Amino acid sequence: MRLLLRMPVQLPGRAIGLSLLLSLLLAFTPAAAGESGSVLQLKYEFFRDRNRAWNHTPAFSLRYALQRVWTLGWEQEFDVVSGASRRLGASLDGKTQAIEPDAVTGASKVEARYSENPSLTYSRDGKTISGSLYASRESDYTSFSPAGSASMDFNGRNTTVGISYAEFFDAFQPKGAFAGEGGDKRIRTGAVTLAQSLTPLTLVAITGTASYADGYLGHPYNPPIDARGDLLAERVPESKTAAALAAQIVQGFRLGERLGSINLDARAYRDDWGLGSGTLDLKVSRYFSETGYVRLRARGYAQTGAAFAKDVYAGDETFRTGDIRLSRFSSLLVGAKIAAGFPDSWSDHAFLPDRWDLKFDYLVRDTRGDLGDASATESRGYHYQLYGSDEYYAQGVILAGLAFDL
Amino acid sequence: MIRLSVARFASSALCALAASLMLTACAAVPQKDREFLSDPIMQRQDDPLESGIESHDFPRREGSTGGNSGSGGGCGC
Repeated sequence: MRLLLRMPVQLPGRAIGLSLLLSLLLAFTPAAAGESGSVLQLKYEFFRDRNRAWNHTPAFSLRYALQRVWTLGWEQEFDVVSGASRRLGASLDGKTQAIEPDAVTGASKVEARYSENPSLTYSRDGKTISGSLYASRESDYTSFSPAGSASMDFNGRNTTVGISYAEFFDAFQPKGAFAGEGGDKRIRTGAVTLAQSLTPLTLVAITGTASYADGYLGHPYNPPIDARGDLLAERVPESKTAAALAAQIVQGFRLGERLGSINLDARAYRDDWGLGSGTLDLKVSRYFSETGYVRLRARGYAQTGAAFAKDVYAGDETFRTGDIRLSRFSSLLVGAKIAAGFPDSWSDHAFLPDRWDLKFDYLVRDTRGDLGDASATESRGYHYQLYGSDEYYAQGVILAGLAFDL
Repeated sequence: MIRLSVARFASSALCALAASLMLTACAAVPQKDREFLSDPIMQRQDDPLESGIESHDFPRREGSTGGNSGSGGGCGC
């Protein structure tokens, strides 16, 4: 495992260079190749939250048809994030725009992460087999994941059954005050999907997912606290079993001459740490021109906390954590997206994109129980939001994209 | 007890999958009527790269566990 974990660490620098070179070469491919099915997508995402933390994420995805049945894929992401690993909610963080590194964690204020995911897909007569190798690296975390998937269409291509499996070899090496903690983590996850066309305008799908993780599953940067506000060491179980079930319906409609669709996705999740969650994600899209469409989105999410998650600990608990991802909360996201094609005459030029898209999402997070007692506010310095109990935590994301048919 | 709950939940998911397969196996849309089903806005994900970025980044921004299919690949913290 050590060998596997070290290998991807050497990869990203070269991989980025290689992939950029590949992209440039492909960008010089004559426009006449537009019918090949090869596509290059560029995206740029900018995120900012109410605590003034931000995140820039340039990314690209290349799908290059090698032959009729083989497709080479490459996805690349690069993240630069502020406020990385800070004790979210620490009194001097964000709200007063302090720029010093977190004194407790010693973690960087600005941190970079990059990932790549090359893949190879074979597709013929409704049967598809794909393999990929995901690798990512940031200053204190590396991940490497081989993955495979297969799907088959039958029943006149109205029914699709797909299976996928991925194994993650992750390594967490905390910095600063928590250096020396951390360790290796392994996650195995599998999924089965059934998709069915019911009518010319109706598609339904159901997906079951199961995962098992073991190793170091903690997150020491967010230590739990006791009633006096003193820091305690985090202790979480060494394994986690989880399952999720998702159901989705895509219903098309005609409003005037243009096609529209309603995409409703519901997901339920449970794990043996006692955490359960539910997601309802609604997207409504409609064309406003031959190639342009708008999409409106609303997503609601709620999770219970892990069985051992508490705001304040006595200190004698078997398990304890200050990780906000294990606490109870709900959130609401609303968003809009517009996507369209550039004029047909542009396709005569190899360097001009064929399509563009722009998305904005706004999320409000209600961290119930946070800061509810004014007298406890001072001692609760480790919560997600920086604002009073009558306020809220919010964030916005802008995603812009261009697509080139190669 | 909790482990049992997860197992029961996973079993229910498998049963739901099997039942769905049986219930839908008879439905068939002729090839000539599948034009709309292949449209980008009729796909389960209208933009795979957008979905991929969201799968990696959104759980950590939201601070959630289980709200997305992403289960590894970096803590983003």
